[in-house]
Order: sequence, then C-alpha cells, then structure tokens
Amino acid sequence: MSLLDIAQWLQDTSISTGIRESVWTFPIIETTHLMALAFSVGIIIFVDLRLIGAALRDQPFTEVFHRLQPMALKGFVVNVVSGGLLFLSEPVKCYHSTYFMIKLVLLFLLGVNAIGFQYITYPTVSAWDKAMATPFGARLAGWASLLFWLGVIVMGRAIAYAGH
Amino acid sequence: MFPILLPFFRWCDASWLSLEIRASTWQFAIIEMIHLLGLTMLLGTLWVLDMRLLGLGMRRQNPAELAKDLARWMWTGLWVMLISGVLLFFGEPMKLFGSPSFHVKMFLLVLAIGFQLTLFRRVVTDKQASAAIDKVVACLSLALWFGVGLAGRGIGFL
Repeated sequence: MSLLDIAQWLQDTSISTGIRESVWTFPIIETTHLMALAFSVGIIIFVDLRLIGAALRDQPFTEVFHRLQPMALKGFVVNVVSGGLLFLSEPVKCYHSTYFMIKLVLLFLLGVNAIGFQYITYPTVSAWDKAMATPFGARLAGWASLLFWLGVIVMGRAIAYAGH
Repeated sequence: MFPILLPFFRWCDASWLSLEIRASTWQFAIIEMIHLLGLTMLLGTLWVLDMRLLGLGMRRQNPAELAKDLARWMWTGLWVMLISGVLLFFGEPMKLFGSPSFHVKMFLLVLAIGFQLTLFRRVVTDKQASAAIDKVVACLSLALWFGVGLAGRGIGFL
C-alpha cells in the first residue's frame, strides 16, 4: 500500500469529505491555524532573538526561555491539531504538493534543532546565560530556528497556491 | 463600502502599481507571504507585551521597560504590515471595495493602532496603573488585533 493509496483512503473518509465540503468548518480550522501560528511563532521568535543576542539582551536567556517557551508550546499544539485536520481534509493535494513536503521537512529540522540545542548547547547555559554575546552553538540554533520558521510560514502559504 | 470612495478605488485599480502587481500570480503571493511574516513579528511583540500586562510570560521587567525593549520589533512588524498591506490593496482594489471583511478589518485596524498609540502606551508607561486596568488594556489590545487578523483572513471568504 503506497503513501498515495493511504492519502486517497483518508480523502475518502467522511471526516475528510465533511471538512473539505463544508462552508464554515474549513475556514474556521484554517483561521485557527493562522491565529495559533501568529501566537506560537510570534512568541518563540523572541527566544530565538535572545539566542542570537538581538532582543531582550538584559534578561538572562533562561529567564526568557522559561517564561516564553511554555506559552509558545501550547500554541504550537493548537497548530499541530489544526494542521492535522487541514491535512486530513485534503491529503491527496498535500501528497502532491512539494511545498507541503518542504514544510514537513522544515518542521522536522526545527525538532532536530531544538533537540540538538537542548543536549549540546543548553547544558553550558550557566556560562553564557547573562551574556549579551552568546556562544556559536546558541547563535546557530537561534538563526536556524528563525530561518526554518520563516520557511514553514512561506511554504504553508504556498500550499494553497500549488497546482492540483 | 462608502460610495463616495468608489472613484478612489477605481483610480487605484487602473494605476500602474496595480497592473504591475497583478501581472504575475507570484508577485502577489510573495507580498502576501511578507505580510504574513510581518504579522508574526507584530503580533508576537504584542502577545509578549499583553501577556506581561496579564501577569503571564516575562515578569522581571515592568511593562514600560518591556515595551521599550520590544519597541523596535513592534515598529518593524507594523511597518512591514502597512507597506505590504498597501501593496496587497493595490493588487485587488475593486474586490476589496466590495468585501465586508476588508471594511471590518480597516475599521478595526484604525481602532487598534489608535488604541496602541494612545491608551495602551499611557497605561504601559504609567507606574500607577492598577493590575485591573492593565488586564483590561491587555484584553482590548488582544481583541482588537485578533479581530484585525480574523477580518484579514476573512477577506478570502467574504
């Protein structure tokens, strides 16, 4: 059974058809996805900006991280759920969409980046927590995150433009 | 929209800028993506600030200090939104003329910017402001900007 077969099977389910052919359900899910992204990514960029030493420099990194990351994570959960429903409503289109694939890869890379930062750079945080100039690992993680999120947002919007 | 504005919308529709933007699908799409990125930065700044007023998120700085710290990001986000927004407008003036969502968005946008630059700023820099007023102001800010965002997305539907 190929991925396309699975996508087609999902597309034929009543929930998929229901969302896709609805008048209000799809717009509501999509708008929720957009608002949740503005919230979660909008907030997390400040953690990233602190990592690269561009914003909130007089606050220790751990302070910025612990205050903002939990909120961003909650918003992100809403994005995952709404995103899952959006995918569910048109799995075949997503299967054929290069933009969707790139978006998934970028999300995966964001995860890798977060885990890498957590286990490689974060353990040394007490050495650079209050510094305005952060170590290479921190700046790399911050820039990577900002660029990957930029890509996710651009690719996400592009999916709607993709040919069928 | 108000009929008196129709000549203006028609003029925009016939302008060089409008024809340029409509010349290719990708031009409009890229401007839209920039609008989306600007939205993330602008709303991100406002969320952090509003959360502070609600007693959530950042807590070591008082609202005035946080606002000052974040000011350049808020203004950057706002300018990116306004410029890309104007370009998007020129991309489809007549459609927007007839769009109820667009009317609502513009109305809320004027309110939101006006509110942000007056009452909000006042409360944030006023050391005497009570926690209750802080919360009301934060909720109003969230509601107005959330409304702008919702109405903006609604343009695609209504």
